[in-house]
Amino acid sequence: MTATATEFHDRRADEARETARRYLPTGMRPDRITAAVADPVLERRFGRLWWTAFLVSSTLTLVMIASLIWLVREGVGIWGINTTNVWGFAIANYVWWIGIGNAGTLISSMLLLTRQRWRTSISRFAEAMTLFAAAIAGLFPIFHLGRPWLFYWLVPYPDTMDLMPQWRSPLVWDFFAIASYLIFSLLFWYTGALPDLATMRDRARNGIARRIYGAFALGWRGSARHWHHYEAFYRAMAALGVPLVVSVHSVVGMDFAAGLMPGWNESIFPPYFVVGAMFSGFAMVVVLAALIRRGLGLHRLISLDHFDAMARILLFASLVMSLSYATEWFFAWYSGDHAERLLVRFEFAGLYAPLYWTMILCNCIVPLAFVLRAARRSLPVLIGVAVLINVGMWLERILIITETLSRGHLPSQWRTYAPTIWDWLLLLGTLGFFAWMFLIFVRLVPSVSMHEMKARLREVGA
Amino acid sequence: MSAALLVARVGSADDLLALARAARELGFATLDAHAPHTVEGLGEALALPPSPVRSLMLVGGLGAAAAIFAYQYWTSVHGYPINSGGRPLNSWPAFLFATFETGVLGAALAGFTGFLWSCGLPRPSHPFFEAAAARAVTDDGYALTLDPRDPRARIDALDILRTRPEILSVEVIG
Repeated sequence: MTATATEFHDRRADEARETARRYLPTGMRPDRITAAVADPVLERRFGRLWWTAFLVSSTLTLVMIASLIWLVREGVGIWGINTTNVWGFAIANYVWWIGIGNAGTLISSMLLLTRQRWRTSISRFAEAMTLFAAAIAGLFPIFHLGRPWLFYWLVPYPDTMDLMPQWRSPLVWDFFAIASYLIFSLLFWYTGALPDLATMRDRARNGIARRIYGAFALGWRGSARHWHHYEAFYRAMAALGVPLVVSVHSVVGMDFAAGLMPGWNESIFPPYFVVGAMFSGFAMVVVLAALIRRGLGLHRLISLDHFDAMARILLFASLVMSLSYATEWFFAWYSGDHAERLLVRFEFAGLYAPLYWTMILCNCIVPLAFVLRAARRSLPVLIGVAVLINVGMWLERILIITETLSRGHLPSQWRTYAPTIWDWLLLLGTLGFFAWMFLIFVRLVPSVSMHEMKARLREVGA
Repeated sequence: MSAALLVARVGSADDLLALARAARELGFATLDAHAPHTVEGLGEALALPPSPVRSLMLVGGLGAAAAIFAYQYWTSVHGYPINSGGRPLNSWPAFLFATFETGVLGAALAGFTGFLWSCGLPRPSHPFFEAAAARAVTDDGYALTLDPRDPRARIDALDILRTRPEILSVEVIG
């Protein structure tokens, strides 16, 4: 090897060691990793905090079920929607939840493909977050249909009504995008968890637990042949996952951009929605990571350096969001279109202006705190900013819908929108349902990928 | 012939690689290795053929995409034509959303099925599970398995293998 090549090689090795020191629990032997991740699930009794959270989230889940039953009984008139503001909370919540739901698979596959070692600590629960959030997101468009029991009309099947789905309709694109995405995410998550479920099977002392984990582990033996096919499949899935996520949230953007309404008919929408999804999803991952780290005592596996890395991504996404908003304002002015200009004026000074300013504060100003290293490494600051980002992103979703629909092309149709108690209860209920599923997840499935952590540690020779 | 299994436990992934290479040179054709995580180079050490999973995914993905596109075309142009705002019946750009999503889904389903099929899973019962080492390989253990009656191995191969310094313990199942 020439001198330069050796130098290059040494530098790469130094970099790998530095990454390992920061993001991997170096010096932790494989059996310690198994113990650290599996034992809290199998052995530890969960304290009062978990039970309190479980009771609260169970109550909220009942609230969700009750408000859905009432909705089906009474019809969508119980919501605040009217003939002008036809979308309201249901579609805003859908977009917000699917945004959070997109982040897990995006984070997991993008970081796998770019060989980011810090992915290992967060990928498992980020993917679980994806599954739960995407499942909740799927509820909203269905219940918003008015007659949710007929949602299967979106499925193309030969029927006696002589009807087919309208392939040119964004609603049909949505159906295909979400259905594909849910099944894909489930397969991706389950495949990644398969070797860990086998670990749980072999470690469980309770006979019933061993049988249940054993059934889900499908007889995984850690054979070289298993790993050989696993690697081929898992990496190919990650490579497919990135364009899939981008397409799913682009389709959500197209729900708006394919319409002719002011503020919607913009070519920037698909990428703008994808970044927004990554933004709110990563913010949710930060909150969940902080909770899991504390709840399961995974301080060595999820370190402050992981939070630092996620905060940098949030900062970057926030800048992209600011740029997107500025682009929207600029093109509204530059187009010279009366309705577009009126809409931007309405955003800044109209009825919902306080909410709009709050959104800008949450999405564009507050995340700038992450330029400071101290803010990126302080959990209270991280959680505070992450929650505000999610509030801001939710406001963005509801405002995109209500501002445009309240000030469309036809002034005689201008009406304002105000949510009712049922809108709020359903939103609150789904938040509770999400927490409920997540609380059960951390008690049943290892929250961090044990086999991947062991493989990464071997790679860096630590 | 009921399967017999010799399970040799080793202490690390590097030892597993070394032992796997040695055993293959001795002619064993029934080799398998077990580890708690992916071990780079283990596939080559055991001379595993390339995995068919990705080819299956390609075929599944392209097949599903072509099928749903053809179905959209047929229903829109021939089966159930509807004039929607004067747009052409064959609005193929609008058909590409469902085509792409279904293609990815087809690839994922084909890949998952192919992955399980190639691994021979689900298989709740296997002679390897009888070994004490089986529980360790999902934690921190590494083990090489082979059929001691492997007809392709050299006559004294087993004795040579047993003297390898990497081996911590040996179990014979069946």
